[in-house]
Amino acid sequence: MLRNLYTNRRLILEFARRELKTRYTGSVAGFAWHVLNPIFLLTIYTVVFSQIMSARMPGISNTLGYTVYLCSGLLPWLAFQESVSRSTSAFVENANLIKKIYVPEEIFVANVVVSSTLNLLTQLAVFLVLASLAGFFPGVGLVYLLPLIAAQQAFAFGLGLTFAAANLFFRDVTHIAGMVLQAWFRVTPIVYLVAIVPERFAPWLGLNPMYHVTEGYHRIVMQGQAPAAGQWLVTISMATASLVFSSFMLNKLRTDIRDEV
Amino acid sequence: MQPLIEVQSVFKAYKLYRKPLDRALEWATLGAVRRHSLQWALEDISLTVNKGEVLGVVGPNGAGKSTLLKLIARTARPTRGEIVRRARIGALLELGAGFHPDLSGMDNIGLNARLLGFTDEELTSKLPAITEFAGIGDALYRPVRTYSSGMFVRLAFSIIAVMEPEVLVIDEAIAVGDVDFQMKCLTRIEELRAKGVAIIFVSHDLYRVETLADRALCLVGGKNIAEGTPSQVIRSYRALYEKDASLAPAVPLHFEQSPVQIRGLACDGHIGDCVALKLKYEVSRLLYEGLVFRIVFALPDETRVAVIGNEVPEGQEIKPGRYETTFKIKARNLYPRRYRLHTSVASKQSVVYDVKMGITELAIPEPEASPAYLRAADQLTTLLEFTVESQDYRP
Repeated sequence: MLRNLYTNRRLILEFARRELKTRYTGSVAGFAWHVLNPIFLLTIYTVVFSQIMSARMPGISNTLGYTVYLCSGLLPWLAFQESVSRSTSAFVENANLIKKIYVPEEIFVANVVVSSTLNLLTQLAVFLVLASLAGFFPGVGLVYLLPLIAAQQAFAFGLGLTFAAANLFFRDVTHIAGMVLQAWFRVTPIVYLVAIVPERFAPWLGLNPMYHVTEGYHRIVMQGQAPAAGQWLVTISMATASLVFSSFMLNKLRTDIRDEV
Repeated sequence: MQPLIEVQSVFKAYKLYRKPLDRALEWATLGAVRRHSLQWALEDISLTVNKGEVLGVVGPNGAGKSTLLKLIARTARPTRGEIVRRARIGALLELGAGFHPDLSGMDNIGLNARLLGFTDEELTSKLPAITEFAGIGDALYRPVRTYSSGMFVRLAFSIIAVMEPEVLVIDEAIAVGDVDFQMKCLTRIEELRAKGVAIIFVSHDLYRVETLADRALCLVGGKNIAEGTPSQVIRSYRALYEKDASLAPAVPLHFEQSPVQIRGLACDGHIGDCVALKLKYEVSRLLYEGLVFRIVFALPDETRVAVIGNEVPEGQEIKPGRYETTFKIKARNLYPRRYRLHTSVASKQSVVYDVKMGITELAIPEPEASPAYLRAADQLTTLLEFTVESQDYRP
């Protein structure tokens, strides 16, 4: 599977580039929507949580601290969510191409994940520039950002591919994936702080792989430190496990997938 | 030289589930529970295609013809067996190529070229030829979902035709589109073939298979029932569906409704050293499309030795009525023996109106004194000299 992806890397990039280009064609703001969308979302969250609900970062009294905290977890999460949910329908949506042309099926999932990742990188760049202007620069810890994003998106790819294959045979998967992602977002400390999680739930947080990923981002951005070894371990092993599983599943189902589309 | 395509004893079965829950059950038990039945689409098919060869596949509907092409084009995978591909394959399966509906025609050209395995440089050099061949103008910059089916096929065929794959796989695709474009496609196919491109095509049009293919294959119920020269295969196939009409080609040449019907071909005796053949036909509506007549001389084993023909140019008005065309053939150019004659009439755009196989027999007698060198004509197909006279015919 990885070899297929490598051989078709240019095709995947081409698809992703076109996808980003066409997503907002016909709109006046065009490419700016890639940035405007998350800015809008972040503003809403910042206003609601820090102004109305008075959430504060411990040790930082102004709202900037919370905004930065929110951004560092939410932007990667949105990319993850988008990757998984759009991958789920990737085979169904590209049935026409799969039916007519020989091309490894997984590239349609890869293209979704790559375009989300590129989108995320743009947003993070804008965010970091704005944060620096506001006097908050995360420091050298940023070098860990890219590997963590890569691992997270590899996990998203494996998960998305599994869902995509299953969704072709059971369209219920789209709805299930949607529900799972909604719940997943809520149980991951992205808009809230780990500190506010009641004592009796705290031990359960660790079971959520995205908790470790998100806390990794928080450490990088808020503290300028590398993610803890445990966070790396969980993220990378989840990514590997999902890649191995999805690749195994795809190889089992390739024939059926082509017969079904 | 090794064949470009080798299909080695391939089987293809589709899994049939009565309800989605059955599949879910199989998945949940990791296949321990079997809840599907198999529908065999192809059984033990083997074939090879060499460089420059044209293979026609015939057979009734549901015989597995399209499945076979899909397996060769890799858009489906065999259940058992192996397909060896030693060439770049371009496929036109059903209606057109794989297009992304939201991308423009231009972007889709790039996409398809890349899917076919071409580099950017190759694409850049071929792009003008593709756009010119497609001839759909500014529509190239509009999303493909706004295209008519005709434009779709034009673009699809242009990409395949210009990108010159080493093997071209076509599933009835050229039957769509306007007549001019069809003609362009057929010409292009001939050019590609001359360049050594191998072609595998499925057609219900037996006449087209007979004229285009070097070799043919007949599939019935997923099994290969005949393979060999097109005329042999078509003969076996015809023998089969004459017994069982349900096996006839899906678009059997419904000549009863076609505007031109062949009413007969008769040998009108020998005039000097000429043989006169009178072809009678009936036209039931006003035609402007031009007509192409063909008379094929075949030996009893169906080897074709000669073809003669006549054309009415496009644009010339042909009124409804009965007509007769006389072909005068220099008999000394034909080896003295018995011939089976086939005849066909088609429009200039290759829409076949009528075909009559074995319409008559012709015996060329031993001439009293025949120079030895003329005997060689048995091998030749182009040496026939003939003249044509046409006239209205009133019974």
